[in-house]
Amino acid sequence: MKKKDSLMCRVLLFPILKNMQLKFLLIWLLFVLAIALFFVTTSFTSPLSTGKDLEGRSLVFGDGLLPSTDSSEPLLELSLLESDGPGVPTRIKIPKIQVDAIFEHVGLTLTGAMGVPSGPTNVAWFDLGQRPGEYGSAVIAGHFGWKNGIPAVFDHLDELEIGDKVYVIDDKSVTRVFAVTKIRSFDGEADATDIFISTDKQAHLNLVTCKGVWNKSEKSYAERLVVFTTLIKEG
Amino acid sequence: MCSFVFGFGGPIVVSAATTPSLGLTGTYGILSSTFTRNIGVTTISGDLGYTTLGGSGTHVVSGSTFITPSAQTGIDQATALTNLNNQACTFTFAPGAIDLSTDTTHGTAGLYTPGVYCTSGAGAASIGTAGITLSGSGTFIFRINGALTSVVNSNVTLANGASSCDVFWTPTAATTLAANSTFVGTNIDDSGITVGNLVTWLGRALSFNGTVTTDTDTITSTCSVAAVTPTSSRAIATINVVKVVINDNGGTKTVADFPLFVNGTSVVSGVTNTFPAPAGKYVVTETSNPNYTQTFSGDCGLSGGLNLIPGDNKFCIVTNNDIGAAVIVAPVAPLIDVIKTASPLSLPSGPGLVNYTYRLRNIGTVPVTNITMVGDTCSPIVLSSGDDNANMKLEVNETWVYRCATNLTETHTNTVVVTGWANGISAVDIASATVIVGLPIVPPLIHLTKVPSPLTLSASGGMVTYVKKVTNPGTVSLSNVRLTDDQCSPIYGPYGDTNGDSLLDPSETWAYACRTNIAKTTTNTAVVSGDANGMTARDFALATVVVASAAPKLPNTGYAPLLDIFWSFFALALLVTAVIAVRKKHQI
Repeated sequence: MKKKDSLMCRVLLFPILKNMQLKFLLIWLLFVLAIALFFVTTSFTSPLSTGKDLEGRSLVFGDGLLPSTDSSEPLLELSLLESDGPGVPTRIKIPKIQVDAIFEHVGLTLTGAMGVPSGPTNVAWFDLGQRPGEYGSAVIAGHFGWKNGIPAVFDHLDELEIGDKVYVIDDKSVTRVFAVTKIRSFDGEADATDIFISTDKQAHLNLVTCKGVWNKSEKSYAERLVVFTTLIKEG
Repeated sequence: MCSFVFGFGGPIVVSAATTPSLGLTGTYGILSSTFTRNIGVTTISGDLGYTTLGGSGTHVVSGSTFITPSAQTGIDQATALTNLNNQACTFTFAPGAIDLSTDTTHGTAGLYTPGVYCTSGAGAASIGTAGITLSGSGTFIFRINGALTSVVNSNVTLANGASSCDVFWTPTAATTLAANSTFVGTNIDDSGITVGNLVTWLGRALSFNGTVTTDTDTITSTCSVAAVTPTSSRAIATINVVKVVINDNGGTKTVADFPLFVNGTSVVSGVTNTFPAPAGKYVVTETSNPNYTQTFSGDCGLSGGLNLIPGDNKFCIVTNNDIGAAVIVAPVAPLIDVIKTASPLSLPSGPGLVNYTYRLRNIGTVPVTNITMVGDTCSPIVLSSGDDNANMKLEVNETWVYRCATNLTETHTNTVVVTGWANGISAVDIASATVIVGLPIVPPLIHLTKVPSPLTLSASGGMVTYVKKVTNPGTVSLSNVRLTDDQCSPIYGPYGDTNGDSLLDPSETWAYACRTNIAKTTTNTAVVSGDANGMTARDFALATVVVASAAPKLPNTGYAPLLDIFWSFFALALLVTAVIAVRKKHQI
């Protein structure tokens, strides 16, 4: 039996095995491994992705576009307002990498970072900035990696190439087509001005996800992959 | 019968002019022997009379057309003219031609109060580029010993209760009004009346024995009355300079750090100051700070300039925003709202006690501290209720009620300016309420709230929706409700005119909204006004939306790698196993 032991077992467990019943040990190990696997599949979520903004509100918003102090007061015909420009994004499709996901709305985290989707399958729109289709840079984040045994929406974002199409449908059922213009990697702590701000009078949509080496202490990947796109078709 | 007119030279006693009966001529917009329309369409609101019709143009008449008007009409015109000519002059210009818009011998240039103004000698009169303003409730008679002319783009304006039906012109020679001008009053002139192209005339062209010639003009005989601006001996006109300070980039300045001036005279934020009016242009300045930007809004122009006419109560808002360290997380600006009501709204029997009630609400999302209320004439303003936890913080959705009582001896518009602070940013609201003394007139009240959504934006800026709600805290319905916003357009609305009468009733709330893209921290000023009983009520609403000055950090979008987590827990399992085994060994 000793010959079959692995090096690890011989080094670490041999003294113990001599004084324990093998059955008890195996049961205990199986139990602990099961716990470990459970944690692996559920994963631990970074404090930066708790889904709350600075005021503790959920980062997934409803229709609360208009504040109201008294519901009995006359309702605004928002449709008039909303006809002015793009609606809020509801769905994104990227055929090249088989993405078909719905949007969550996020703001800022306590550290001043853009919020992230609550799960692996949705994407998050930074709703303190532009709407997709408006002049400026709308920013969308999607996860990278696995959670609950489910692959994340932007796992294959790095497979996009210049010219690939990204489709965004808004709450008015208008589809806007964006084309990839640039793909860049940034350090996770890099200045993100060029990602969030543009002044060239064009509508940009920038997709962000993680890449690089996992930093255990910071519970974060070292880099961010950013796919820059520009509106090419509307309606 | 005498009335007192106040001007720079002190009070002048004058005999009051009276409005004569116009008899049958009172319904006419144009009364003539020959009516010639040279160009386009002449629009006449009222009756039209002529014996001969000429010209290549056309006309539209809302009333009746009398071809060869009756002889009695001519008699009535002559009777009215005689009445006007028999009234004693209250002011006689020096002999010779006179430009009514620049003359200062009668008083302030361009400003005329009710009375009989006579030229002497060969005294033709003209209305120059600066135009004239007829101010006050009463009769205005301009008896001109010669021709009456106006220049292109000149204006005759009514103010402070003056009525187009109480203004009369009796030139002894022809009348010629230049193109693109406006004119007011009944002009009786058998020497002929020529109206240039695109003239708007509130009044009547009466020339029973003469010719009236028009181009594309509009003549309206129905009376038009200018809103009454309550006047008092202590307030010819007022300017209230209101300071807003935004420290969204680490600044620490307060209102007191920016001394304010009007034409070089020191003023205090929120305090109502009386100034002579009209008296050229006023300019608001401050001791600026190089680390703060400066923006003017409200009644001020972009450089802080404003004009006053008697009775004006103007507000100039000066906003200073710090220039400092870039911040990712924009601080939330406070948002407050004050409603002021007066009881009673009028004292028809004369001086008496008036109770003012001020309701201050926090309509934002953060508690507001350091609240100051600056009233112009009523003191002390006492907090009556609302601070339930007695922490002197105006909590979100809390309403504080203040009260103040004072004796009013004359009509007065009382103003309060409220300032509060949160996150280094000041919030301001203004409320005014007029009480009429000595007249059985109920003044209008109007109230505006404005709430932006969102209150903060990231460095990229973005769309902000402003919802504005207008209410009528008074007792009379308001007509002609106008809403403007210096930073957001178009404004959609109103919604809420439940009975569809286009009047803002005391029971109604009218809602408006507009949406705009802002790229930097912005304080916008909305102004609403509405009319009732010949008076105008106004209210202001200010709101600050803070835009971060640095882009957000990149999102942390990754899940821990699967194997990494597996091995972490496996190692943990081994460790726990070892601990258990050791303990077991010791037990054995």
